[in-house]
Amino acid sequence: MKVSDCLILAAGNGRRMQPLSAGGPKPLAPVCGTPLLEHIILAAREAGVSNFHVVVGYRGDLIREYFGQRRLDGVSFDWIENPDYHQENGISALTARARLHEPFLLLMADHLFQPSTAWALLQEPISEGEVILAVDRKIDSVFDLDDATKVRREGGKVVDIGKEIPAYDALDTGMFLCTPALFDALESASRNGDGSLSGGMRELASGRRLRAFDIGEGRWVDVDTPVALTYAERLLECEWQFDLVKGEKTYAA
Amino acid sequence: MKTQCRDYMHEPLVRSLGRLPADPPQVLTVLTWNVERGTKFEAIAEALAGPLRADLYALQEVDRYTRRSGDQDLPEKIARKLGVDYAFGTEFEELAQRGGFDLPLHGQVILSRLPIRRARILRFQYQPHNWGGWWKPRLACLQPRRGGRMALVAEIEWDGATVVFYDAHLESQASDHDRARQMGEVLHDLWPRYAPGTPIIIAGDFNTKEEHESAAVRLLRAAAFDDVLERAGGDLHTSPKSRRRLDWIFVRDLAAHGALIHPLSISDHYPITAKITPAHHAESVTDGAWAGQGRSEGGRNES
Repeated sequence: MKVSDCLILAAGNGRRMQPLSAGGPKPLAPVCGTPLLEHIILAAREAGVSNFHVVVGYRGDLIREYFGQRRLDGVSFDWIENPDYHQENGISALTARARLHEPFLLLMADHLFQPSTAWALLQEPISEGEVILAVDRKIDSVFDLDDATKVRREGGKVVDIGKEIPAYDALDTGMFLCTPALFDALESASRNGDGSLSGGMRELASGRRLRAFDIGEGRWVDVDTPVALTYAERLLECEWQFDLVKGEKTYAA
Repeated sequence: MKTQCRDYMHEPLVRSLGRLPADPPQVLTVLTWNVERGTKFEAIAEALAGPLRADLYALQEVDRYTRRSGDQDLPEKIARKLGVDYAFGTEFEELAQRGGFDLPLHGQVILSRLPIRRARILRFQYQPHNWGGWWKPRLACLQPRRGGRMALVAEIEWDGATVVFYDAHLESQASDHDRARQMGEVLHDLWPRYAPGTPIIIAGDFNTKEEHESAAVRLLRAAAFDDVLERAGGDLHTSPKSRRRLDWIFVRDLAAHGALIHPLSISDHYPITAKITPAHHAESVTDGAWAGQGRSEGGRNES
């Protein structure tokens, strides 16, 4: 089954990124001269998705305006407004519920990744009611471990997830292959007072419906601070898909 | 002043020559102009002192002690003519332009009728074009240079507040994407330094030669900056040769009115001027306020 839909959460105002995006929305902070969100969209497009459902909130007008002018071949946008963007990110994901009825790729607007990682995740067969989380077992090589969301796996399933869990063996990369069952889990978690995406994932994990997908040697970075942004620029410049963006910049009308 | 004694690549030269106004103006006139090395110095200075009179000037491609410009200190001469303070930042040392004792330099100048509290050079880390390779013969026609593109940054005191003024010159011998990377460095520079709400002006020659809107300009719009010519219609080119809009003034947390492109044939770029007020004054200033100056909103001054 080909997955062609991608949900991107781009509504928050990135308080910790304020030093690098003051006044503007974090997803438009330039990384090597290209907005963070554009890097993510181009990488996802390279992995095979084409319909982008983007949840915006803080300065969503600027994000829509940017991509309105920036024509990207092979990309269609469905903009979803979340007026409650100051709340947790699970609430943002829930605003897309009515738009997604088939499996979809879920991405964060501030997690850079390699297209090959998303492509590999999209090749995974997914069962009804299941969500697959791309995880990184290279714990020592991740940038800013303290801030990373940790996961504990058992037999290929995620059994615990959170920033403060006592035992873990991998990290949440912010990339998911989801069925619409995600939304039920988010609603259930929200009813229990946890509006975060991790809260929804814990709901799924408790029913053993959250599977782990090991990204192997793939690299990713959560661009959450000015230092992380500098690190991301080094990764893009030295190792990644930068030619992808460069080509787009050079040749797109 | 002997430039050899200074770290001219890293520190701007800042001189106070002006007679500062007793009462700060309520409206600032801001100008940007690439003066093509300043070889037509007399005409440039006359224009800046007369029809292009402004409170803040961002000039690009200004020579200092180069043979081609008559071995003169043009920033100093222009500032004296205008009676203003100035900061000069070196973009390049021109390796084939030595005419006398002083180093031949080329760069950007900010001239101000308001106090310049601080100035610095933001040398771009990303320099996509090598102007000064060792293999390049030191011939004037090949323009061998040492240095790199940069933005000159000045913090200006205006009525008890600080206005941050970036005078940027992006690389001409590069792609749209390369210039966006340099503009990204401007944004990375300003965000951690200046609190939200700080009035910021980014002006200069962005060398935006593209038919479509350039990536550098899109980045500025995405960062909530407004083009002072946003509401102007028609042909907005600032380069008579390429007929492209190469030059820009963007503002944030300020309001712009009555921006104009002046089609003067003194340089290979046209200057742009704009009236600037604090953002909260925007509603109290109408475009009609500028009608008395004989200029029309968004039009071209044919003088």
